[in-house]
Amino acid sequence: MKRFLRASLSFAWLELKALRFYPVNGALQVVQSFVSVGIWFFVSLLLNDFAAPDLAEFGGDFVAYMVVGVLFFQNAGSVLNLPQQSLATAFWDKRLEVYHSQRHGIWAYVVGRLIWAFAYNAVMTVAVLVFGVLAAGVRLDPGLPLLPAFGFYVVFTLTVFGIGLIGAGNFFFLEIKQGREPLTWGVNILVRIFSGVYYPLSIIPVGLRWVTWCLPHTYALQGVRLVMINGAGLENADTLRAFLSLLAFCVASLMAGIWMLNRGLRNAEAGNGIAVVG
Amino acid sequence: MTPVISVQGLVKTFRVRDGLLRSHPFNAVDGVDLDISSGEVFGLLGRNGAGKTTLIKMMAGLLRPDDGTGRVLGHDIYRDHKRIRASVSLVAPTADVGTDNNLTVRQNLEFWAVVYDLEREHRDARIDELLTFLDLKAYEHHWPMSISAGMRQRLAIARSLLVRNPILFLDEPTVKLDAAGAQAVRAFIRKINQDFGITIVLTTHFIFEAERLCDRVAILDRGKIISCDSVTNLRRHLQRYDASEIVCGEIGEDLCREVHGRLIALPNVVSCTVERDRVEVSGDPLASVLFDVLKILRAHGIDIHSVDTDEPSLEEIFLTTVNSRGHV
Repeated sequence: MKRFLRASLSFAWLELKALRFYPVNGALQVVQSFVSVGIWFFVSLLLNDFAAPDLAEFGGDFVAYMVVGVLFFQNAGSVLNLPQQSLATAFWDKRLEVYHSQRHGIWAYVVGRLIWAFAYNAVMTVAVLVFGVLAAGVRLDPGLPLLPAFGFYVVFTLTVFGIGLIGAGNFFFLEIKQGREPLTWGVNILVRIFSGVYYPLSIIPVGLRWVTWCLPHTYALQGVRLVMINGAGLENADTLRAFLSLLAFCVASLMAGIWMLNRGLRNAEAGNGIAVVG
Repeated sequence: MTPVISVQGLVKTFRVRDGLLRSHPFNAVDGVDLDISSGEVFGLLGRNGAGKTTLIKMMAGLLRPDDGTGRVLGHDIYRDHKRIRASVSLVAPTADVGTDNNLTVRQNLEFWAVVYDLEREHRDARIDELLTFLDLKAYEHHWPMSISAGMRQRLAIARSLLVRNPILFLDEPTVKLDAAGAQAVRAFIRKINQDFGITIVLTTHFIFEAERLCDRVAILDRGKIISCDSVTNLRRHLQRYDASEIVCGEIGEDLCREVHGRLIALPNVVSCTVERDRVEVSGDPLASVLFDVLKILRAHGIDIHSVDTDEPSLEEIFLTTVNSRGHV
């Protein structure tokens, strides 16, 4: 395990080197994160009074609701696509087989990229929130419990990573070597519509609410908002329920994801190989 | 000697897509038997699409065979393919494979040293050793894009040698290299085999390369091994022996007959023709008979003007062998 982690960290270090090699890309990426959240910040500012009655659970604060939601959704989006994108990048750079041929296989590479994304997203999340609170007046709970917030962040990241791994299996099963992978693409669309990223869940038609509760993002966003906006830790029943539901999704998605990708790799080895299309 | 690689009846069939839902089978490797001994440099020779890379990938644990049995370093090729992958090294045909262009030559090796679990205290020494061994020390702080393709290929070989695996697979190691680069890589392949005692299995479609580097060669055609032996034995199998043409002074008709009788009676002489101004002798091996042939000619007072030897090249053997199977 220690050796695997060391190999994974080495792959994470590669990402850092790439960023240092092209600092402009890094700077643009940072600006992009601020811009995406910034746009929704202004939209929510405009609609705050209008949306407030539907957000009594969060003190009627649509701005904080939106900023936290968009920020975490953005992080989740990058991790959701990460396994498939990692395989595709290594495949087209003709590195996939080289990574596969070492002791830890491509897992060290994929997990290394996850470690990098996790660390980068964590730094960006803190930066955007600090900027939002200090410069834009976003109201988060002053006694924000950091441990539950971090717990939600970790479990949410692992959950979407698990879904991403399921999708990455299609790299071999459906031979999707580039472009959009249908499973993660579909999840992303459903999440945008049904998990309450941009608007309160109460406006979703009752007949479609079952979709909402089938998405792990719903529990993650609900929980993290309760923690950050209301300051409600895991002693709060709603926060705990959201956390445990997310944890269940996390275990299931990780198990399914690891199984799917391993199965895909085995299929490729038994078929035409992992480094070829077709 | 115990073989480090031993495969029997290896078969690999690919599905080749020819439409959205249609595909047809293609036998890339078709019943290959092979034993490779420890410390050997073994060449897989064949045209493009002969099945060389597929065979190497199966032996390196990257592809699972559809049929057959086999062991690599004692590991079963079906059950232990992960162990096989961890205990052999493979260098892909293109020099850039596995090389990160955002890292210098040395940083690339440092990165892989961690991935390959090299002990921290041995890492730097091993990297220095390989950089020196492969003549890359002067370029250790260069970016891969700023060094020649031959050097990048050597960097790829250095990466594969970071761990002291007993088998090194080289898939077309000199393809896309210029003459000087290819020559340097070939020299290092020999050196790696001799200095580190590593068994090397290489694929190539450069016949002279196989001839220069390999202890044994297997000729692959349409997924089958059609010949496998040392270059010397392959020549022998072809019934094509090393021959010598001796241009000499005038030989009379009677003397022709007498000299022919003496020469054909020599041990190891396979065939002999004596004409008015030339003698052609083939021997197995030629070197063992040539001296005696010249002695007999001199003893009969025949002036010798020139001696030319003619060995069949591996290329000739390859073409004869492949063409005898219906290829042109």
